[in-house]
Amino acid sequence: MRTRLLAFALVFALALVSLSLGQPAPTAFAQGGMMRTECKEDLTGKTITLHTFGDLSGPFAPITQPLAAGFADALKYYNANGGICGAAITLQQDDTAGRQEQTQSLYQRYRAFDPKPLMLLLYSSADAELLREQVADDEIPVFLFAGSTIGLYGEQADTPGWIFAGIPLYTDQFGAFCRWLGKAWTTDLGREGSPKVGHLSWEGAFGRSSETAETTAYCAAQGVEVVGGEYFLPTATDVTAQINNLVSKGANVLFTTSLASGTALIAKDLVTLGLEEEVLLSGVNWALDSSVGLLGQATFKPSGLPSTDNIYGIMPYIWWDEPTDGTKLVQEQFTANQRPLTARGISYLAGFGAIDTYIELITQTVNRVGYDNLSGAEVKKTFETFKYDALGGVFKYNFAENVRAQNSARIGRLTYARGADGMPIVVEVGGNKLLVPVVLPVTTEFETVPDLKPGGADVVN
Amino acid sequence: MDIFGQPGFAVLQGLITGVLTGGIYALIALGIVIINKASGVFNFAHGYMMLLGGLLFWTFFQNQQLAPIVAFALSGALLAILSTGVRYPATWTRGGRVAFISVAWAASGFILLQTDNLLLRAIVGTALGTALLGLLIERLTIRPLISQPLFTTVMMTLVVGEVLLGVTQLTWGSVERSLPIFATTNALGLPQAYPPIRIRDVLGGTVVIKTELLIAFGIAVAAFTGFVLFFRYTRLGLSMRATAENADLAQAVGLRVRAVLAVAWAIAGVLAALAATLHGSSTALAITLPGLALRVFPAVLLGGLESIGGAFVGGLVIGLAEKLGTVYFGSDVGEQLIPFVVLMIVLVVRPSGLFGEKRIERV
Amino acid sequence: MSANIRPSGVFDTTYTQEMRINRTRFDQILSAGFLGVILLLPLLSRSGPFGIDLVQPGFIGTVERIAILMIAVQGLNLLVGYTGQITLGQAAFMAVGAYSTAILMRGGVSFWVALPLASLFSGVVGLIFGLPSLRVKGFYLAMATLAAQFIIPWLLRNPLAPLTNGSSPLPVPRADLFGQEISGLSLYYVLIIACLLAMIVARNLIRTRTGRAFVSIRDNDVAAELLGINVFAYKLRAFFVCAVFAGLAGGLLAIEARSISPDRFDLRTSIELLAMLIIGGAGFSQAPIFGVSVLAILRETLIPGITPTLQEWLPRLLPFVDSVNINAAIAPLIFGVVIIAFLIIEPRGLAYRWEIFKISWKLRPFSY
Repeated sequence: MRTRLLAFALVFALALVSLSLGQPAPTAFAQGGMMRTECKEDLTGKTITLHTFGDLSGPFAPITQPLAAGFADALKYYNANGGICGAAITLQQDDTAGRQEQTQSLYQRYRAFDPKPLMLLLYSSADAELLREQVADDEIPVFLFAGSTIGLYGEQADTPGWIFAGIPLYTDQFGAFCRWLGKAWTTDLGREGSPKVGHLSWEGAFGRSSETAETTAYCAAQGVEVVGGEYFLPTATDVTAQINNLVSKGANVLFTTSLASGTALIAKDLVTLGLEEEVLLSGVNWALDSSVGLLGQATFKPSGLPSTDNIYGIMPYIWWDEPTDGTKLVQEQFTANQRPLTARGISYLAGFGAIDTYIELITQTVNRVGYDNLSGAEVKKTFETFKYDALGGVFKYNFAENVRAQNSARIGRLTYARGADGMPIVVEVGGNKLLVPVVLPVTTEFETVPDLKPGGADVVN
Repeated sequence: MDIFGQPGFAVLQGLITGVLTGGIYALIALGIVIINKASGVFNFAHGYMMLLGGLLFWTFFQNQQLAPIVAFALSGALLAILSTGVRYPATWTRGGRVAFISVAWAASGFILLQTDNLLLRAIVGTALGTALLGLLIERLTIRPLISQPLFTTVMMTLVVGEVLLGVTQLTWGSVERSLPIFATTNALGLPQAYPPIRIRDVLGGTVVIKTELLIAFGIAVAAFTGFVLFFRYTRLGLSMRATAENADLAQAVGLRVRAVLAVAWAIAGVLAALAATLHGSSTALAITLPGLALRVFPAVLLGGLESIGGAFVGGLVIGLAEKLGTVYFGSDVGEQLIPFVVLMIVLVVRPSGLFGEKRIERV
Repeated sequence: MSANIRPSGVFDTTYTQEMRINRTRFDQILSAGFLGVILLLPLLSRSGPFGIDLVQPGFIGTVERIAILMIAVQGLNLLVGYTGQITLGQAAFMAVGAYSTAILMRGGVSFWVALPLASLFSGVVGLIFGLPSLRVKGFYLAMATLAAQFIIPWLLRNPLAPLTNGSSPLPVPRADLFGQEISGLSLYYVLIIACLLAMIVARNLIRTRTGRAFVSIRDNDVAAELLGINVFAYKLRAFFVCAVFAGLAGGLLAIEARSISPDRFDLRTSIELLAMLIIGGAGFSQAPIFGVSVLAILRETLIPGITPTLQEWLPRLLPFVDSVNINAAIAPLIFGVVIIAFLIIEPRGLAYRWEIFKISWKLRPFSY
């Protein structure tokens, strides 16, 4: 009996050894054809966790659920292709349901993890502003997928903290939009008179972030007048009154800091009021997303295209349909994991890019200080001079002491994919016919967005 | 032309939209009033019942495979429960009742399984599903609380809302869904909402009436009229009124009081689904829908807790106040403040509401 | 009630003895032991001075929040449990306290001055929304407080925005004590001591004339009026005290979280506070300890613990469930079911069960 057991154990051990020998050696650079810093240390057998929480089930759900899918697929892909210098990446993820109380208690739990999180990935302005002081106390850097000025630089915009943003600040986005609008109004857009912008956004920290004294002054200097702002709850069902209020003040452009249903509702009510040609709809980067394009398909303009056709906005990244190595990789994984068309938006791309960025960030930190000295403070140091083209340039980061947010962008336009005959392409998903939303760049070059935080370089007095 | 400093057409627009949205508010208020009338429970969970009902409708309306089976099971369960409670005409024998139930089940099942008309299937399926939901809530959570203090029932309906929210999120997640029922098909073969009615050059501008909202308002008014007739002329409706008037007396004359309460909850469930569907058709179905019911609570109080007509008036008044408030003071004030200011005013000036019973004790 | 049941051999010979909180040596040991454990907790964690890793640091944070919420729930207990009035606006009163503390501190006022002022101000706001109790009671009063739950955050978001940052979070400066910043360990002790003081005040308030008036209003308001109690004045007092406690809790929350926003004080927070009271046992002074601990541990330890398992298994059992949604659904589902179970099975809450347990312990071996 004993010999049999021994023999069995021996065979088992041999099998294990042969299995581990059969594993390919880690190749941690040039993952998926894109350049990445080469590892100085081999971390095979180790595990590094990425920590993230945010609203998966509240008002941000249409954006964040594909984000989670992006995380999952990217983890699968990168772990199969070397992880972080051979170390496996795991994900610790939680849901705040959009409740600040939940954010607070999750953070308390996360900060107590052993080992302490190297970095926290957040995607809500409100969460970032809430946790700003606390992450600084606990020395946990945050990579934020939102553009909150207070979160990044503090109330007086003079204390860059521990938070770094993956998209431009909403104030700067609005500034960049004004800069383009002032130039393009009579030329590219072929309009008459001068542009007058009204803010029409969600109530809350996120929605109210782009209408500031600095942006209004900057826009005025660009020949764009800001006529005022109206704010609606994410539960609102009708914004015709708000649109009428703004239009009666002279607005011929609406700028929205809202996402998914918020932007779609404005587009729809513009059509309802028959103002879809007269008033140009525009918004922050989230307004240019498939989630908006899909929700807008319940109402059509007289021209026959959905109400959400032709929304202008900020495009601080490369979109799915632009042929680059990065988008090719993401599209491959998207197809391989059989994700629905509805998830083909910015969040999936962002989720994928965030994992890629995290790998690079940790790799650079490990190269500098070694795995054993890895800590939040060291990751923050890496962040402060982090220059990286995530996914081969889909997201371009060049952080510096006073540049805590991604700061280059193009102007883009949300429209629908067309076939060779110029007619929109109709696809069928689960028995429903859908048009395919696409985001096209209007300006081809990435330009640095103006710095419009209080006291920023481009603030006009 | 200006009316109190605002362009006339904008005020007119606010009036029209206010009345039309008020119709949907009235339906929501009616659902709350019916339960309150029958059992004296104020249903704080109504918003969550709406959310679940609306999503149920969406499921039947979109899904072509799973839904009929689910619906068939639902209809069976519902009729089984109904068979124990509803008063049938006294002349019916047991066999007659069984036959009636079987025929009703078979008919609803047949509609659900056979019809290609998604709308019809969705209506039947949702009505059955939400009626069952109402019955379940009443049976599992409200009935055990008989003789408990008011605080307990208030808390219970609040918490039932939480559970419904959990169930909804588990099943449907929180992704927003559009519900194009009042729509035609456009050149691309996609559903397209009916074009809005535009009245040009009135009071210095164009006034727009959303067609979906107009249809929703029409249905809401029709449903309302239906219920008024139901309570006035049908046996079940009369027994519900009798129970509301005096439950002990009603029991003494042979009414099944408990069954009446159960039916009130079932009706409220159906009304919640109807309101959610109408609301969803003019915007979209989102997880934030229960917030809408909160804004209707003032309407219920304004109309009076037990008054069906009051629910209608209250709904319209709140709809109007919200939209006109938005025109004059902006939406921060209109939608977020005015309903609750109305609530405070009602409580201080006339707590029983416009048409409610005056039975507020002062000590 | 149960308090009258004593172990054999324990007699009251004076009124003072009758009114004592800890009546037997066993009670004293129990109270002192409980207090000792709470005070020792942070010293036994990794960040403590002894380097013992017995208590997870995350648990310290949970205890801090339990202490804060206990104050708010005790206030609620005085109004709902003892006076029998319903309020759905407790979170809004917490918001008043939190924002007033933060605004005063940002204006340079010391935390130790700001906190009492803010609590009093919160009490005054509570009085205003308690005024409808002059005309209405029961359910209608609940509605008035529901209006408070919406009107107060609206005021904070809109007209008061220059002071409160509107919808954006408002950063709160650090509090200090004799020039030392309050953080980490000292924050823990400040919160625990504040909670303790609030509990003692509440416990003693109930034993005064005012407390007895509260109870008589709850039990029968008509009879109370006939006894010469000015029902309206006492109801207003209850509202005031309730809101003062809420304000205190809010102020402490502000320095604990160091950033506050109107979203944190929404209707669901109010409902949760009520749920804590129900689970603890409305009308028992120990209710907050039980209710808050159970729900806080449920939320911060148990639910995150079981979620991964559910995410793996639930989609297999129920094919229509997507694992992405489980995270969001599980908290309201479990909360809801637990509270429904309490409402049906034991609406008097855990404190009542605890009394029963104590009695049967004292009467042992004849505990029938």
